[in-house]
Amino acid sequence: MLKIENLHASVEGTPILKGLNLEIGSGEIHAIMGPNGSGKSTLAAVLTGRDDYEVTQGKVTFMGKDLLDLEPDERAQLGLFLGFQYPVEIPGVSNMYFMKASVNAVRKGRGEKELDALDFLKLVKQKVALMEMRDEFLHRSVNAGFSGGEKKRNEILQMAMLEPTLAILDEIDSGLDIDALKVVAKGVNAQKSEDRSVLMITHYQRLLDYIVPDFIHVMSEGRIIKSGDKSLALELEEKGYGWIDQDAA
Amino acid sequence: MTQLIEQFVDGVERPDGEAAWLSSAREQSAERFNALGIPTQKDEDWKYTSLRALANKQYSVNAGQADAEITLSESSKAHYRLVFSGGVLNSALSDVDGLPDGVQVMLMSEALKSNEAQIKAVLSSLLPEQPNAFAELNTALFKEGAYICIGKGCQLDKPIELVFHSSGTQSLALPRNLILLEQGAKAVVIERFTSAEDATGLCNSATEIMLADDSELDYHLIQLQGKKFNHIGGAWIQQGTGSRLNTRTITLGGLLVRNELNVSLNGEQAHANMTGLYYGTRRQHIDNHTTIRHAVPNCTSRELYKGILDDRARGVFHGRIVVEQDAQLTESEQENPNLLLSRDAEVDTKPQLEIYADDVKCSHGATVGELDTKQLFYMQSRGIGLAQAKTLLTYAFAAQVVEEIQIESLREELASLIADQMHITEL
Repeated sequence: MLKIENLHASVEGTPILKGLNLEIGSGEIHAIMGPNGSGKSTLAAVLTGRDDYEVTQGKVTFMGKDLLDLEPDERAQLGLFLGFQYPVEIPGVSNMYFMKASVNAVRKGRGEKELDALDFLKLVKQKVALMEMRDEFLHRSVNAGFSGGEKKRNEILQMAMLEPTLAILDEIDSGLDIDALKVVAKGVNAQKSEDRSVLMITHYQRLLDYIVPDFIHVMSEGRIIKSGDKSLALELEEKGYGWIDQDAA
Repeated sequence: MTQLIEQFVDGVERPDGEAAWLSSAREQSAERFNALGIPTQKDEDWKYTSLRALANKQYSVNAGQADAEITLSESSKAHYRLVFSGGVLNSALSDVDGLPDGVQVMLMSEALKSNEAQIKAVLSSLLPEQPNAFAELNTALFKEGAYICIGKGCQLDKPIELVFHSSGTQSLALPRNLILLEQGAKAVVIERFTSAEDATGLCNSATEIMLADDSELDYHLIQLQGKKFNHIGGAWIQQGTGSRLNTRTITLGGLLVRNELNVSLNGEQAHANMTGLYYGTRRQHIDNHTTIRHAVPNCTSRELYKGILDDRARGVFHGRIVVEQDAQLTESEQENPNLLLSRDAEVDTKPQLEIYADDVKCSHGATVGELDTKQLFYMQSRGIGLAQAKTLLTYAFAAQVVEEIQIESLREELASLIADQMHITEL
């Protein structure tokens, strides 16, 4: 479904990704871990098409298409979703209106019929209940004045509405207390399916207790230096990232 | 030698039997207009707005059509209304039946007969001490307008709307309105300016408003004229103790538009809340010139004017706030955010605070920006195309001002007009 080959990317001329390789199959849950500055968030930004990141080398194939050729909205329409580390506030645009525009843009891109107001409302109410949010959130401006936990829940709500093929969750656990983390994890786990893959980017092992990955990758200096199953996370927690660096060297 | 006023305006006929005091006031105003001349950019108050293209032409008070076809909006139809076309009342479209006791809504020409003493005492008394050529022009030549008086403690069940429609070639409309709210009265008033799409000319309006103690007025200026029509208008407002004023100036139409809103807070505990939205496209030039004068202690004022400028449009905001020496404990805030949607669009924003009291809280801020790239990317990452994302954000920027309008039908009408201008099909 997703294949990243020898990906190099720079920000303002500084190379951050230096030859990253990763393959994700249908229905798989992957986690990328690594110290600050290893390039984890840059990877998420490059995959979703932020234009201040420059790809200098390499190739990314998603659903059989050259992902790097596509605009961010086209990537979303193809089934790529990014859960933001810092969800953006949009005062003046209601969450409801925003999600309807988004769901219908994605449906239109996929050649599906757009949802009418009634069908949309039915769907969104169901997902709001899943995320243990109050309906009132739908009528507030997108993320404006939301707490950290509410913003992250809103991200997963949008993921549930858009039903992506691949969801990249960038530090979805940051700034969450344990109760909020459980709700977010429940929301993600409820969406597990054979044709939906998840790529979690995280700094902490804690998240992986609640959303259990099939594969764990360790990133350092712009590359994946070690991959393994979930036991790798435990080892990392015990020994720290330093152990991998030495091991890889 | 021909005087300026005769070069500028054609077709003036003095009404017969006008009261001597009014004739003499008109003559004095005409003299002052002739002496002042049309403002140029050398005048600090007109620094950013050139009237050159407008000044060298002649305008006729008879060019507008009294029987022009006018389609009233659903919102207008739901209100008490006086509809003026070509400077005279269109009685078929007007409707002030069923006004509550204590409320008078009538033509200025009628009121000058029936309420002469009251009008004589008030007319022009609210106009600025500063010379103002266009206020003088209006006084010198106005024929018609509306007189609204809301008696002590009276309220209305629905808004009063004044529609001023222009048509024809090089027409000059000179509406003159007087709005008086007696003690504790409450009213919602809309002045709506429209024109035929291809109309050319100028509307020079002047409205004097007096708010007695504890009265409350929601005052709307809705400008939807065609893209070749000019507007230079003003409202002069005096507020008594405990009175509350909301002004909402929404400018979507017109070629050159200049609005002067002047508020004097003359009684303690009075509050003025002024909001505005100007959305210029093509070669529109929209200039909002506001003055709030805090003359006594313990008053508050808030001003929020938002501008969106696209194509080669130009916006001007000049917000003057004067806090006189006695006006301690004044609280005043002013904000003027602007959004430029094109490289050729331009805005000049000038906050001007003159504070002579020492115990006051005043803030002001003006910004000129483009759409936020983080917000755009967030929307794109959710599948929304860049063009739609830009439109949504622009709409959201405008919505803040529109949402403050309390009349639902007007709010919805404006929201949909703005959406149309942005080519949004569904909201």
